Amino acid sequence: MIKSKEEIEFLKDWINEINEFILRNEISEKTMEIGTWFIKESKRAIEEAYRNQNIRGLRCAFHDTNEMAYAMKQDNVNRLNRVLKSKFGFDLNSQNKKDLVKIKAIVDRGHIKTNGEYYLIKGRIDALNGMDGHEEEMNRLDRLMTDYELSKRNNAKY
Amino acid sequence: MITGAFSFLFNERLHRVQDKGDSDGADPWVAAGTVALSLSAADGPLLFGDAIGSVVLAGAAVYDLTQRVYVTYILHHPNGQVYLGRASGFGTPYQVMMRRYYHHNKWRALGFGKPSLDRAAIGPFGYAAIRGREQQLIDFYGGIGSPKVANIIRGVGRYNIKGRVYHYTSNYYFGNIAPYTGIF
Repeated sequence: MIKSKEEIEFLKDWINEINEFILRNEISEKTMEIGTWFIKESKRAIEEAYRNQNIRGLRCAFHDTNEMAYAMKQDNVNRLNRVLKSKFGFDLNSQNKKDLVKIKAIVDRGHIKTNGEYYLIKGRIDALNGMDGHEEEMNRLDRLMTDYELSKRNNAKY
Repeated sequence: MITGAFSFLFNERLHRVQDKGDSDGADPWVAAGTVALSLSAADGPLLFGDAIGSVVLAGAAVYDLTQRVYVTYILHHPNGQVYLGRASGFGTPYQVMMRRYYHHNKWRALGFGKPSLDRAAIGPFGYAAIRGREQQLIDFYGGIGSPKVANIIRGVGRYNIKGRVYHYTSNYYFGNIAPYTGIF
């Protein structure tokens, strides 16, 4: 229970830190309207999940927010990593490494078990899509995703 | 940085992709294109998403090639089914989509091809807009479980606490093509 409370606090703080960074550094005159609205509404959703102790919701938002952070300009990603490192002791790269450990376990197992794992693999494929030299890994991950989708389709009851 | 001539080529490519998409018949281009165009006209050159609906970006914008481009795309099956997806990467939206398509080995083997680019955007809010767009595309074609849709998993989980924010960000960028289907 205590561990969950600590995790909830951490998730909220981490997500808010990234949102604040984006608000300070990624909003231009052109994105002012949608950007400020987006951050305000994201914060509201996080606060609500925090109030309800919705740890699954916060974990999902944590994953999405980290993914979103990579949409920033590379300079800002580097600056954000320095901010996160000084505040939390680790950064987005450290989180990526944790995800990679989970992904390796799924690959070793040979199949995806849950939608959460599916989204994790999907995120990894998305990240690799921008890089050269990962064709084999992408093929392997894509096969896992498709196998999972097809197995769910075969078992689906509409 | 993408400037001048490259920007022109970029938009030319988008228009060729768009034309291809339109020729597919019932395509969300038709539904959302007008909104994207009007947003461009009102706000001036800004987002890749705008570029798809208009030519206003040509020669006007400067982009960082090291910044990720986010896209949504549609794969078509001869039997009329569609598979909707999103991807990100570096380069033109078309290149990003084709790189992802290349790795869709099983779906391709099952007959899903003719990839058409739907929308593209950059930046954190562009990422959010593309997340919302992927789910709206799935819902536009009937949603998960519809015989028209090959996807079996939602683009945005029903219980994702940011689902609604993604939805409305997508509306802002590209126009609405489907109602919100999440819980929060």
